[in-house]
Amino acid sequence: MVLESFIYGYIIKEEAFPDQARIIEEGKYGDWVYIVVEGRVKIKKRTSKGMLTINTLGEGSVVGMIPFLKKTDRLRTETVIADGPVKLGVLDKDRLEKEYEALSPQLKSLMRTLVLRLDQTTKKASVLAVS
Amino acid sequence: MTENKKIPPIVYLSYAKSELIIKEGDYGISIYKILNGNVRIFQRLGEHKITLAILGTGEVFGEMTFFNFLLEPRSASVEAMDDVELEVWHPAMLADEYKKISPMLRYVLKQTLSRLLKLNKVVSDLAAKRIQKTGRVSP
Repeated sequence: MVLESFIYGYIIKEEAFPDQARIIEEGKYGDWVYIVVEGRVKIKKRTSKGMLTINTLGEGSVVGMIPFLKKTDRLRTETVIADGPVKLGVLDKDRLEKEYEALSPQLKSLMRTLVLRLDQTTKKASVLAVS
Repeated sequence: MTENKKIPPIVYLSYAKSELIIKEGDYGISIYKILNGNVRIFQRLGEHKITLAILGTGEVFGEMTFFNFLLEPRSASVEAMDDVELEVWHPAMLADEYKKISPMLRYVLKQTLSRLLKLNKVVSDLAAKRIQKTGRVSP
């Protein structure tokens, strides 16, 4: 899959990870936002019964948006693991931040709420999955 | 001078605890911002309510219809958890702004929305299995 051309303008560097590499660790500080350029990643969540895979994301998927928009603590809400060799693009977060700040107050709260709901619903799904 | 497009003004509404604000399956176009209080977003499964999210002051709901271009019925119900004050937006207020946002933010927004819809489905399927097994939604 080739990413849509405007996306390349946001990639400041590319990083390659081997299969099973832990790219993002839940609970750690970090606000880099990535896009999957090649390969796949698994999104996992810690549960009372161990790690649970919540989603598998392929090329073109944006990863790490929750702490970026949450802004409160910028702690990672999920663990991201390479599912086979994967190449990620690091997105220009200053540019994203600037574009986000320029949104109307309505769109800003709408976007923030959607990301927070994604976080809440992920937690909810992981609790239900192991209960 | 060109005449400005008529955008309906912001409306303010209040709801008491347990009142239904949005009913799943209904058609509606309004988007709501919570000025005060908390709401619960849920789907109904028989007599059970499956909570998808709890939102508080400053958060927005009812936006999915906007992104689905108003063709879909409401995907979940929303009820007041206490006394709630809401600011109600007409989608036309957002439509022009939405056109102006960068393709990258729009891309992120659409992706977030589709992941959320997928996860809502996961939550309601898991809850349905749980109800079958235990007769209750909550662990």
